[in-house]
Amino acid sequence: MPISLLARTPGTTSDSPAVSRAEEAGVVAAARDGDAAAFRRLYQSHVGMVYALCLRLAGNRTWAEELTQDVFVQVWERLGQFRGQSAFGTWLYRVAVNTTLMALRRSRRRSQRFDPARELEAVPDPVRPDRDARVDLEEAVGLLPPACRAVFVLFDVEGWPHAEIADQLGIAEGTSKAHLFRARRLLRELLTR
Amino acid sequence: MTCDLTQTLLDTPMASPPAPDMLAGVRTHAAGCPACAERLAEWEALAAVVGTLPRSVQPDRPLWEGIAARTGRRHSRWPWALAAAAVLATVLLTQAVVRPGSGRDAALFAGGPPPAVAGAPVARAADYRAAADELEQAVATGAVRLLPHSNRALTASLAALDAAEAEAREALARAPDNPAIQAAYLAAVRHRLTLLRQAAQFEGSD
Repeated sequence: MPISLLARTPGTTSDSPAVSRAEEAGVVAAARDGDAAAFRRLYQSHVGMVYALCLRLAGNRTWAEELTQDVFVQVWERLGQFRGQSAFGTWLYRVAVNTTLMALRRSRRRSQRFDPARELEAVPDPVRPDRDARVDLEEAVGLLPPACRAVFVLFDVEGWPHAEIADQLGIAEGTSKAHLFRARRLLRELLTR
Repeated sequence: MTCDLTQTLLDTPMASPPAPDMLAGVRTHAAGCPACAERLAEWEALAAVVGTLPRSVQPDRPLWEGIAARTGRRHSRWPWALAAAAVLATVLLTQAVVRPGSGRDAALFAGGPPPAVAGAPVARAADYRAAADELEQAVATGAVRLLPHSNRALTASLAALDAAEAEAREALARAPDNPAIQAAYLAAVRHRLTLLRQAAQFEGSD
């Protein structure tokens, strides 16, 4: 699984670092038993991590908000599958990645917005909307073509190896490397124009 | 053209700092290789920015209400599912633990369900529960005596039904008109009465 190959361990980085793993285990158990208040505590602890991931993969705030809600609904429905063998944040991260990538794949089927295998030729380079405005990295990532963005986020931000990315996106490893090369070039251009 | 050592650096995720000796090696090489010096400068500039990305970003608007609305709608499936599971567990316990026993034990659980009582499901459940409470009291005080393994089976079954009833009551408090929850609650209470009535038929037989 990709999670085993992460350069960083998302489960150790919650929005409420004061919550110990033992305490969180109790909160998770209560949420699993249907305690909505406990589930809200989990949401408050981790929404920042989930939203950041969704925002970078989706490329826009509105979609990222929808995806974040989808992730937590998925988590609520699948809490019974969480056995506590990893940190809750790690498990949640995996659910978030899977949910978001699945949504990206669905969007490909609907509108051809996301097609990692064809995008290298099909999608033109992005243009900075306002040439005078300063673009920060988050905005620049959002301007990338979808597959370039996904590969850049998963490789350079999340630390996944190309083999895992290729597997998840259904592309060849060489295609993943090509997307990364293009993403880095575009980001440099967007950030320095 | 990019030399091998520099390419190794370029193949490193920006969020993961490269090993210091590898970076030092690339820098030493780049000092005499203009192409790699350019690649290194580009990589380091972008990596420096990527390294500042926060791990956590708060959404601009609160998202919890939407999540709560969606999870709240789906929450009601749990109690009746648990109740159904408890009833099934009770049946399995009865069949697996008690029926293979003596003729007396087999007969103990051979009685039929209590007769249906007219009225709404919750009202019927209250009637069943009152009758079951009387019988349970009789078992507790020894007025009804059971073989030890029958008693264990009955106790386990009643415990499962306790949990199911509690969940169903909680769900009913939130959705009193939900027919699925009403039916689950009625089934759990009725099953309790069935078990206890069958046990009561063997008063003093132990």
